[in-house]
Amino acid sequence: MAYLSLAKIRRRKKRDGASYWLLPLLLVVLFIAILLSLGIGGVSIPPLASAGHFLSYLGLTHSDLQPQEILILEAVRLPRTALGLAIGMALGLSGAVMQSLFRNPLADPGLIGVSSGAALAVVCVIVLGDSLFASFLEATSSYSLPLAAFAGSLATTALVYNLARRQGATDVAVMLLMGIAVNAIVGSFIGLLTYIADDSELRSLTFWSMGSLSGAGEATWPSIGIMLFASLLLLRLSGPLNLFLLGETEAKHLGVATEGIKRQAALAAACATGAAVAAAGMIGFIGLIAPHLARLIGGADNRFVLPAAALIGALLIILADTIARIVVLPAELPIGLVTSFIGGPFFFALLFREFRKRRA
Amino acid sequence: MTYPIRHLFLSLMIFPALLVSAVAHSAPNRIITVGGPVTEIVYALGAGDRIIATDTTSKYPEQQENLPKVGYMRQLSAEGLLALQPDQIIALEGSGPAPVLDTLKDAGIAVTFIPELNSPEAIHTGVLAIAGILGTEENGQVLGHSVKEKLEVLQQQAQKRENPPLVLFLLSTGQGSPMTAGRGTAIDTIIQYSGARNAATDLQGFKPMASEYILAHAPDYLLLPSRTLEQAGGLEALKKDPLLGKLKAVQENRVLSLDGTLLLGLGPRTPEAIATISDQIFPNNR
Repeated sequence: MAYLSLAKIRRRKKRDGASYWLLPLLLVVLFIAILLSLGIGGVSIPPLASAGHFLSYLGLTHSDLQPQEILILEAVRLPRTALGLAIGMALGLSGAVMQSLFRNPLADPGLIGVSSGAALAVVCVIVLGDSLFASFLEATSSYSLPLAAFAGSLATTALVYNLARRQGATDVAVMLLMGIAVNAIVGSFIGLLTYIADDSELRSLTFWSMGSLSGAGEATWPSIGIMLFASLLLLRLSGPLNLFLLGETEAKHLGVATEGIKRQAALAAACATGAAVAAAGMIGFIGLIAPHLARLIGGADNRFVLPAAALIGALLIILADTIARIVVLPAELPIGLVTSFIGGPFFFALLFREFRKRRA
Repeated sequence: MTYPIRHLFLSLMIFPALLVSAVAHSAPNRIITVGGPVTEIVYALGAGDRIIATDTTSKYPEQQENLPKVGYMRQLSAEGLLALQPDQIIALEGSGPAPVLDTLKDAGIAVTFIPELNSPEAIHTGVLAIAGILGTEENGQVLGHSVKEKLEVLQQQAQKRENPPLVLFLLSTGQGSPMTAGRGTAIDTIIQYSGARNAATDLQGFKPMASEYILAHAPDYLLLPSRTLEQAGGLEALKKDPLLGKLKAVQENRVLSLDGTLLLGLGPRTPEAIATISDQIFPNNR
């Protein structure tokens, strides 16, 4: 493992110069995707006209859109795109940090209980809400599901983290196993609640677990704030996480405060992913695929991988949401379906290409 | 470069839209119905030709199958709905998500909620409310009254029955524990109004029923959605089923089936559904 990581870092040095060039390029691609997502939908508003509308706020152009089109742009598409950007960034970054922390290419925040905790809390609110948490529902109204999801993911992550703590130190391997055990137990509770749920509750649960950005609006602004803040925290970890790739002991010897880094990484990833799940339900695959894509195009240096995974994550979510909105008009597909439908084969293709390159 | 053409095109598109919205205050002409019973009632009131789209829970009548579907009633899409340029949305309570319907209200589209049709009284009020929106109050009075009256007659008949037989409803047959309908379901109401007893009254809502429990209850009649009976291969195949074949009701041909769209929710066709079952259970005395 350590040898492999050293090899990766040596290779990284050769590529160093090239990979940083890719970040502005990704930004440009992301910008084009944003324009596309603002310009495509059930109501046809030309992408250029909608761009012109937003530029008119700066006094640069003159907006010639109808009031109905403006409403669609500002009340439907803009909040969705903003939410998609934040979620993609949060999921991509959390995935990249988790993969470095656990030195495992399959790691994602779900491993430490973020997703299952959120799911359990949401199932509780949907199924038992009317009978047990009536006052909670009343006090929080449209914020009740996001709040529950966020609290659930933080609580489960804290539980996993504390279970993995021995004499003031956490072993990442133990953390992984604890995560698996906690996920199994939480999963059984979800199953139990699913069993007592009625038809419409089951439908709500199913749709929640496939994710959607259609809730974007005022109620999602707090989530976006948390995601941005947690993302900044995660980005700051790129330097120390590079040394983690050598192995935890090695990182410690090189002067990294490993305990602090682990705590920050777990907490910030739980906050970022928890807020993402709170705002849009479960959107699979992005946390796994975005860091891999970043490494495929620019090497394993976390100072590149982390920001690149954030940009790629945002790009993927924006594109997936645009597709989700238009393929089954006038209805809408859950975004989680699109991310795995298109993301899976796409990921395959990239992997095979990479293998072929290595063999050659 | 193509600006003049686009303006012409836009104004051509917007002009009829403006006309429609001017008329909208009297009676809506571009209606989207959300929720099976709502769609059914609008058709029953003779205003089906004013519906431009329905949701995926709307399965009846057949004419509506060619209309665009706006998705599942709780998972609507704001832009998808707006693109259809409706002037009225009639939605069953619980449709959503709420922010989506709020956006539509902001766009000046009337959104009306109809309370869930979970009791005979609710059908009556629901029919009247929808007729009020459509501007077909007279039809509404007639339909609402006839549904209410028929149900009252059926209820009186049901209460007079002595030794009401036990009816077990199963949503599916074959592998696993089949789902049955307990208290609080439309099926429970239909069984009771037809003069029988529901074998699953100790359950709430739709629940899987253990095989032993099915045999222990020994229902007098088995009630299945007609599609389930078809998929099982008909009554003769059912008799060979390792579990259901042991039921006396199956061996003695006392299996009732009814169209699934009638069974899963209450609506204007509920009295006919009840009468169909009642006629099969009590063929000689109406």
